[in-house]
Amino acid sequence: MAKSPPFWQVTVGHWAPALAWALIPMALAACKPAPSPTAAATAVPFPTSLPSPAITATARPSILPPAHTPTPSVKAVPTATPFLLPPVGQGDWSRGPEQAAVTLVVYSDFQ
Amino acid sequence: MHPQDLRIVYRHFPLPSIHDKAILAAEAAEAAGEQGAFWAMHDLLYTRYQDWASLSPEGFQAWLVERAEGLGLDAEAFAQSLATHRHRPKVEAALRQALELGLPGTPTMFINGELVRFGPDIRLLEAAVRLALLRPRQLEEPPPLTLKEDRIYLATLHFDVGDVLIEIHPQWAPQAATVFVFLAQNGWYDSNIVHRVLPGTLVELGDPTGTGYGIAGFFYDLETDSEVTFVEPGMVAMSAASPTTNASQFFITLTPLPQLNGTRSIFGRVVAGLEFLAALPAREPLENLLEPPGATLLSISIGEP
Repeated sequence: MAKSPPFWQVTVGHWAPALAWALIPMALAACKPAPSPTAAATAVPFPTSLPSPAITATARPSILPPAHTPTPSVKAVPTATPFLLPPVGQGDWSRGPEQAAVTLVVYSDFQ
Repeated sequence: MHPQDLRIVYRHFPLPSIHDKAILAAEAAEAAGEQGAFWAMHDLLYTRYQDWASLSPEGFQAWLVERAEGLGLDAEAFAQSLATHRHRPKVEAALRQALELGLPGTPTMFINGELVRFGPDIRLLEAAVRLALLRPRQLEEPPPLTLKEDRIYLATLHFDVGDVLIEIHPQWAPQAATVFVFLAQNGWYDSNIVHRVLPGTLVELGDPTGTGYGIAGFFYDLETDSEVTFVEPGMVAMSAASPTTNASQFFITLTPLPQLNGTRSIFGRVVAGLEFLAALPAREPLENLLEPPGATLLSISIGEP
């Protein structure tokens, strides 16, 4: 049997690609490059809503002058999730090492 | 990607009201799972989606049974499971649980329990995983000042494309210089890619994740010196974490950038090898995340004063 393709490759094509591509510009708008030195000096919105909790947990070390109130000089507190996920257990289908540093839980529909 | 560091957990959230075959597909994955082939069926359902998406439910069921043998399943037992809806209670229980959680739709993903707040774009997922992996390495506090302010230190940045020699001037920005030397000596910058290249303007690096979002974990105040400005190419400065704070990424200028004067902590300047960086092609960290970098910083050696 051929090796299973990685989860991402398998799923990304299926998961509403149009939506995904629509979201990329939103996510990336915050990181839009300054194409020229002049533009680099103009204010670029500091990303206040970043794409993930993992990302919001760190300030964006941008070279571009941000245009919002300063980030407190302490480590940002990750946004608490409002979802009380049941812990991963024996009843779950999982792949990858049990002790992995990162667990990705996907609630999905095959169709 | 990340075979050692990533575990993926799949939970059913079939939406029968908009997808006529969602429950059946989930049942098929369970029926395959019963024979140890859940992920094989999972992958088949996604990769062959176009083949079954427009079938009738009956046609889909027949299609599934035909494919079962190809997955090495006992096709008869598989067909029996589907026909008797043996796994429907489990799938429906999973659906109830997902609805009770109030999940916004499919797919909904969580990385280490935190909701993934972006569309299912592979680059953003990759970035989120890399950032999660960085967390255990992050530090709470910047290192104490240890450099002698009246000395100049020499740092050799060993890139795969060539060596870049930098003078570190602690007197220009003591904390920024200390952070750079401390992180360099502790290997933080080793194997970092040059994650942002604005050709003719600057290159940015110092993020082990290569995403543009990875930092060492601490922040400290911006330091500027009115005598030291972006008057020429080759200035080395900390990237801003906010208008008043620095973190651990840094950038090297390829041209005078007077518009940045007073906004970034310059702590060094290139004395040799800038041409290697000037030759790099444009790169945006997230947009080009999965593409090979133009250059990788292999290691840094710091010369004693």
